[in-house]
Amino acid sequence: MKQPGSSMPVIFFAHRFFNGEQRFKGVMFSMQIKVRLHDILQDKVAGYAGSAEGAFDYQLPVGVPVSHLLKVLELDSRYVGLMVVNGRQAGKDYSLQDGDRLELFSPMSGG
Amino acid sequence: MDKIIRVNLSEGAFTIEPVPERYRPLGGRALTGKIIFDEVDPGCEPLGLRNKLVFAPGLLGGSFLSSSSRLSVGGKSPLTGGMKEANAGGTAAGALSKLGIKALIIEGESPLDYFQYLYVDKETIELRPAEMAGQGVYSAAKLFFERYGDKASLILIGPGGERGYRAAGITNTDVQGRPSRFLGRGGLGAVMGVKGLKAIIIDPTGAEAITYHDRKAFQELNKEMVKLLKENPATGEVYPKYGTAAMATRTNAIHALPTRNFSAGSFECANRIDGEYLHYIITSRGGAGETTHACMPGCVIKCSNIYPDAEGKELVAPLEYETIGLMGSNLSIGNLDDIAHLNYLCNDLGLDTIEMGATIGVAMDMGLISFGDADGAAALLSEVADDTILGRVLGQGALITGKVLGSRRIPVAKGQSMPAYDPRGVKGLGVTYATSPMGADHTAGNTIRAEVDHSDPAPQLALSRRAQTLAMIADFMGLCLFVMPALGAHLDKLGLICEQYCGLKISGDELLAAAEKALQVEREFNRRAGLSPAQDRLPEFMMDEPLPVTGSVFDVPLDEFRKINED
Repeated sequence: MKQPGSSMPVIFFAHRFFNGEQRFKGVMFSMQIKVRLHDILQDKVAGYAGSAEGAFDYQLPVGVPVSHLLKVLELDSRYVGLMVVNGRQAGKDYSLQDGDRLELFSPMSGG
Repeated sequence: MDKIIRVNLSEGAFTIEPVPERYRPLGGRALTGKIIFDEVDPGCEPLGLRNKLVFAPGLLGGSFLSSSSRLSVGGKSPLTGGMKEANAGGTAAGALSKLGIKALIIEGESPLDYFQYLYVDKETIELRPAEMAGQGVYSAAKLFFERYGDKASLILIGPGGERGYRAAGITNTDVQGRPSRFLGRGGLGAVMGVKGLKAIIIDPTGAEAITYHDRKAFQELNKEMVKLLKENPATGEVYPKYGTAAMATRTNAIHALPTRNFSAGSFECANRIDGEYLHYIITSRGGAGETTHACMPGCVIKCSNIYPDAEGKELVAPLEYETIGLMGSNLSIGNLDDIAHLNYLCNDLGLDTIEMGATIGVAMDMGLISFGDADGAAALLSEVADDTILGRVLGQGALITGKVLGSRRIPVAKGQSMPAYDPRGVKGLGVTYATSPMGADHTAGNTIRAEVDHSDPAPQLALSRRAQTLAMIADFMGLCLFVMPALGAHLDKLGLICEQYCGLKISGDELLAAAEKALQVEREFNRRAGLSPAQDRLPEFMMDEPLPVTGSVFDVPLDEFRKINED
């Protein structure tokens, strides 16, 4: 899911009116993060091209929480039991920063 | 289940007793614990005459509820010196239940100079000479099935147990007859061995059908439970497809995967031994390999697997996370074929792979062989098989091996080896290891599922306490622990399931109270056995030596541990 123009630091938001007219609406600072999905989650996100080795890049507004990313990925929150950012455990309210590497795992109770 | 069978090996005799009223509401670990508490001198020598072994299915044993056929075995542990319950799936609990056997008590010690086995069917209870003593569990099992047919369920020890090695467990057969479902922890295989008992053969053929208190209602509840299990992401998807091995990616990511004798929390080859890679190997090799395998009849979770070699021939079944941890990353072995081979060798000897993995890890740490030397590890297991002096040391487990070799980095709690979660990475489990009457036991209260920061000491005491109680509920019902997240929020429903099966009326709150009571019984036995709060601790190296990368040490305050027993 590599997005074009991923080196751009800003996202332009546009709004398309019902009559087809398009107006520039605003600008937000954006950032790029790497997301890696593990085992069953790999099949739950449309277009996830990562393998067990890979991850995909994602562009988001700066500082959004992990829960926002889950919404964007259309990943039901109950499927995510463990989140690791840059090698450390994080919660769903963790505020993502530019360059963060995020790993998502579904819950397991033991083994 | 209406009877208790008592076998006295000193006399070579047995009695069949009705179940006393006070034991009726108990099953599994609560029952084994209570019987041991009532009948065994807490100060006795675990490998002596006065210790006993009690086998008991859970309260739900014999029912067709998914994942409810676990077997408990209890006794005083030669590793911890305290109360022990070891637990496994397989077929034995179901077979005992079908014969109406609520508990099977093995007491005394055989005076004969040869091993015996106990044969039990609908009409017969008999001790018979075990000419297959000395054989590994796989060939012994083959012999028993040739003799008694494939409807029999086998409980076995290997040569390790026969020789009284403290790393020895007890195994029982799965649905296809593999003697690889281990009641592994705590050295109870040694207790069975010093009593002179090689095996217990249970054939439930022709037994009266089990009666339900309300079969129709039970069926409805089972349907609901199956639905819950299938909808839950862990039991419905992760465990069936990837097995317990999927835990390796998780623990590796949070630096809790034991690596090189617990000197690191992540392993550079973790992605070659985790659930995704295991799935890839099994499915690409095909042949006898399988994922989604059930260890107990009727289980819908099916977390087990059959691991094939490169030619597709069965190598070992199952290959579990704990073995991948303790005999893989903990030994710096990043190859599933090597781990599977070591797993098979341990199984055949009747040894707990957690205990032996930790033992070999200590041996590597002290330079006996190098980390990563899989052939060397197999050679050490050969020493054990050959009963050499080194083998005899190793067979006694990690603590004794560590003492002999002069190690100060022995990963045990109450003398029993730690499972594949470094307590500095999952601090809640560290609390469980230190405070559980079972010693270092992940099945006695695993906190990994909680959505908390596992490296934050603050919430861990409460988490461990709750997890220990819920684990006890599963253990006395005979339920696989994996159903608890789906069912744990529905304890009233669980009580109802129990009532529809055996008529025992019990609410969710009463289940919690019963679990607390059973834990108290264990703690009191331990206290009388001489275990004091001084043993509720972890090795000092885990408090002082930070894990690389995270810098984490085990820092949940020791004082707080007292609270877990006081509330």
